[in-house]
Amino acid sequence: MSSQRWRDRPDVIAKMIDSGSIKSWSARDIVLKPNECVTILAEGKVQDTLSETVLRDYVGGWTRWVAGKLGMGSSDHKLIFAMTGPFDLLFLLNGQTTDGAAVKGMVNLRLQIQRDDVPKLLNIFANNRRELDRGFFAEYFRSEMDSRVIKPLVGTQSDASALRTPAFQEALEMAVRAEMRNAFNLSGMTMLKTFAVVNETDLEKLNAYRNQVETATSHKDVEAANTVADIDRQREVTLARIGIQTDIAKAQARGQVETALESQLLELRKQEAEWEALRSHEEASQDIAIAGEKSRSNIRVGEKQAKMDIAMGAFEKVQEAKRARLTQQADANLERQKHTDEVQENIMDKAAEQGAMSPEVVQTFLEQQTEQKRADQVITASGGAPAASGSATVLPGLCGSCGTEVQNTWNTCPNCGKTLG
Amino acid sequence: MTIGNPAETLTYMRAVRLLLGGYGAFSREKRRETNVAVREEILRCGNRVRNHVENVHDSAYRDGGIKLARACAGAVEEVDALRNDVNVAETGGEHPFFSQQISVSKKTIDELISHDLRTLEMLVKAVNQSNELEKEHAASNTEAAITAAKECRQLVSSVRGHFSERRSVLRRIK
Repeated sequence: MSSQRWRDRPDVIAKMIDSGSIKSWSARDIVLKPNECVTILAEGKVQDTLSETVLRDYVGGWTRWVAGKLGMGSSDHKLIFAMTGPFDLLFLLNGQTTDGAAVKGMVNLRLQIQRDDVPKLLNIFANNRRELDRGFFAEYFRSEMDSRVIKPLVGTQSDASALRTPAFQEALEMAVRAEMRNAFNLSGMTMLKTFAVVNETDLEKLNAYRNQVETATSHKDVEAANTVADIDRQREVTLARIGIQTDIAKAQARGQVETALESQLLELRKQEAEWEALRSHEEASQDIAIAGEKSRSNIRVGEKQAKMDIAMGAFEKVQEAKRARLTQQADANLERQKHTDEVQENIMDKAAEQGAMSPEVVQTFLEQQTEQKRADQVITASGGAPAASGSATVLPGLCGSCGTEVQNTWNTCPNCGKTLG
Repeated sequence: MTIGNPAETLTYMRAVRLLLGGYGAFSREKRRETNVAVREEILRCGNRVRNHVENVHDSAYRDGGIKLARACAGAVEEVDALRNDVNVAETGGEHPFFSQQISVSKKTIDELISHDLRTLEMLVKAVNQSNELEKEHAASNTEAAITAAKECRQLVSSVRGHFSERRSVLRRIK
């Protein structure tokens, strides 16, 4: 046998149906659980409200249909089903506190339809649909809740944080109980509990961020202070250890002076021996190093001496060759001068024999002899290289008056203006 | 036992008569229906307490008497808890003839009748206390009203405890 349910979703709170709308061949029972009840309306009257029972053969059935067609039984027969357990309604909490902060949240109302109050639902069914769910009731009471409870109460709060205090929750519940009692009673409802859930405002978020920053900063400060304290403690421990060691050393020194001195003496001797061995070792090492360095230095000196000898040899050879060349040149000059003198003496003798010896001839003879000597000096000063035949006229000389260097082709000194010989 | 309102006294006497007559029919199918009827009577008594206390609560809240309103709210919450207990109370099972369950004995029925009578008597005390609360508040005696509200809450709480004992009695008659 198929069964029918008056409630097909959890949101449904109450429902009114015509018993004649249930069509079936056989009569049906109505089973009422502890949290649901039914109010029977017949012939315009509220007959009964039942719960936790089974209404045997109460609706449907072929005989009831026939009786209805024959005008027997109730012409108007309705059933109001309702849930008598608690249910929650949510209302938007939207307002502004005295400091101007806009707050948003939800107000939760826990309501219940009492068994004796189910007939009061007729007040709602008279002007509304026949199936009432939680959304319907929330919309039904929304404006009244907003204007009588939420707005006046939120407007008296100093700031958003005050909405989260137990005092506000208590005031909200009292306000709902007092202000909405009449409206709920007319609809057959009883308010059990009320509380608000307030969202975090922007100002509170900023305050939370600031508090986080301050907390982090103070945390760092505490850590730094702890670190400094740790360092101080370590320093104090170290100083205390040093002091204790000093005291112990003093005490030991007072009680064990001789032992300490002997130990110290032995230690000194030991150190001396070590130092002596070390010094000997260093001297040996230095001797070895010096010998090695000396040998290396000798080798280097020998190399240099050999190079020097080679260079000096070469230089001596050059000087010897130069000296030989100069000697040869001097001999050549003397030979030529000798030959020239002989030639001149012969010329002078022949000129005297011929009677042609005049002052002009003698002067010319002396001038040629002077030029010959000057040419020999230039050749000697230039390293012995014989001058070219063309350059003999440009060899430099000195002015007899001022000492300025002049050329032999010049007639007058450019410095003092004296006529050159 | 002090009963303040004569009209309510008549109501409670009817409830006691209902109990006595109803438990006389505590046999077979009639037993559970009678049980539901008794619980409904307890619910109605609780509603009376609640209405009285709520009247004082609303008035105190609007006058700024937060302490009194708070005391009344506590009493109302206690009544709501009692009603919830009564709504979902056990009724006892219907067992087949060859069931191993224990049958209802005459002694158990007498014990249950006396227990429910004491429950209703305690509730009458709570109703009287709620009446006293409303009178004290009408006389602007705030401290006395607060005391009355707290005593009312205590009485309703006692009724809850006593009702839970009834359930244990009912279990023995299954």
